[in-house]
Amino acid sequence: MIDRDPMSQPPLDHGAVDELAAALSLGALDADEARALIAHLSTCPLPHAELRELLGANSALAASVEGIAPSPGLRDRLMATVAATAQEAPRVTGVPTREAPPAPSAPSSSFAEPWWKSLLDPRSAGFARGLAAVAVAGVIVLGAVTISLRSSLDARQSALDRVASALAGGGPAFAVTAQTAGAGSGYVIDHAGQPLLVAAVPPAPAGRLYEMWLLDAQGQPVSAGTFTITSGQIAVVRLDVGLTGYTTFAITVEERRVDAPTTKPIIAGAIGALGRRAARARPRASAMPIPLNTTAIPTPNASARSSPYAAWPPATAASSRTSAEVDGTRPPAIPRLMTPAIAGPRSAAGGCAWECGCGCGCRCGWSCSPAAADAVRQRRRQPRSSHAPMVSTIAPETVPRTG
Amino acid sequence: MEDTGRSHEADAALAVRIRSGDREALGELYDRYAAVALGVALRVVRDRDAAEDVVHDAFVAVWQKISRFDPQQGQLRSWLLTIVRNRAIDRVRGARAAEDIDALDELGTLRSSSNPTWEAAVANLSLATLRVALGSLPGEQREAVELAYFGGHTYREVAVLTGVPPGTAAGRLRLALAKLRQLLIGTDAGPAGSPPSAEPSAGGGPV
Repeated sequence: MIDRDPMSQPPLDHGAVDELAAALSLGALDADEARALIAHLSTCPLPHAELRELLGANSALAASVEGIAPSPGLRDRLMATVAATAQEAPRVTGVPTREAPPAPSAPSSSFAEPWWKSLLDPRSAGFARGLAAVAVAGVIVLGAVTISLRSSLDARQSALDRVASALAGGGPAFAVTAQTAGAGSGYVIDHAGQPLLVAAVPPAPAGRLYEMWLLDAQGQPVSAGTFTITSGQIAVVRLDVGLTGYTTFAITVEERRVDAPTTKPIIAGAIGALGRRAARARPRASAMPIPLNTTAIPTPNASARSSPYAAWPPATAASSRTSAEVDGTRPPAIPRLMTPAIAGPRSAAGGCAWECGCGCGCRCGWSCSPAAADAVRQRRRQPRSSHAPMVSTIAPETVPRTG
Repeated sequence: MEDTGRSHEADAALAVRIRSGDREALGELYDRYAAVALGVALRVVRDRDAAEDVVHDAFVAVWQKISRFDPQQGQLRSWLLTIVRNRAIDRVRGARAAEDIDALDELGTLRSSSNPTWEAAVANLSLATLRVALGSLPGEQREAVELAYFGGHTYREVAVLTGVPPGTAAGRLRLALAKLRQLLIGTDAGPAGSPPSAEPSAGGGPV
């Protein structure tokens, strides 16, 4: 397992791991310490029996609390939220996904294998560590790196999953899938805060290259770099642009690097939560959302709605939809920022605790749909997930400039 | 008490259905665990309305993140309650919200993916037995556990709050859990899934 920021955590020795076992079990480690501990376990040859015995003790604490029947309306409220909430696509973590999922009725497995071994594919532990070294050494950020592989489809998929798992280190990722037959697939992962494409794709036609694109909610594309690849390789390519503020990733085949795609995408994926996650990590200058009215891409008509990519791809453009969007139609662009329903509280980090961008001054780059604003009014107090960031419905030319 | 094996099986089946996008399955999960979830949330946030919001948000998170949950690796109930606790702590203590709640959930997945022995034991013990076991811990250990689990403090914060070195706080948590394990599971814990044969010899102590 690779840590996002290996430099910040001193390695733990075996004794320290055992001493912190109870704290890990109770959720009483800060995230960095917990990750360091898990990193130790993912490579440690010792069984750490005491730690294994204490993990799970949190369930005893939870069970010592008396249950309380919730208000009658809570279930309906939950089901209404769920009806308007998309599920995350499976991500790249733990055991590669090539294996069939376990049968639902399978009994819990015994401890034939330490649980943390599943954090990495045992077959690839050395491989993963090798990759970690490469990544830490900064080789990957120089550009496209390719890794030679056997060319069988299974081997390629397996290697793809291993590489993505190792580089993502359990961190966020989303899948990118073929839009045309045989185009291949892969993942965009968050590697130490940098987006990386990890993909098994066939070589581009002679004389052509692949160009990566990020599209905002209006379908405006921004180039995220180009790469080429030869047969039987997996591409590991750093994106030039952060994901914040974008909703869709796509790859097209181009003759050279261009400012706007000239062909239909061969591969695409919905950025969804990853783009929102980045928005939540502010304030960090480099994580500021790209303004919606980016003008790098000249289009025949200034209106975003007329962009050839405005309605594309309908199935992946928004993984988190407003209730107005679940019926499959985009709501019309709202010609102004919504009036804030309630002034948003500030989070400890200084950003908007609601992360709603409803005009409450948080400048987080998101904007509310009428449905979201209604939800705020109904719930009155409450930060967070019932009021998740929404895909912007603001037409780019109407967004007031901030700062 | 519910039969443990059957309960796990039913939970695993629910997880599969939720993963497939079956909203009714989430409703069934809610019917099963909303009360205990609210109990945990209320214990942390101490406000009924806020606790219900926490429960709401936690079930939504289960819905959203079910693809990260592996039924073979952990118990759905544990995972849910970890998410409940994370959100409850997030609610009362903005400070720890600086850590991404998603990252905390991720770590929670690992924590609950640990050891079915605890789950099996807990499912077969009564509330009173669990409380007696907790009550039998030495005061400073119980305090450390409460601050850590229900107060949402790290062991370093527990150390500051109780005026001891961090190593001592970590040691108290370790001793407390070892004792609980001895009381609730016994030292010769059987293989995963086999229920404990007898009630623990809950020796005295205030509840």
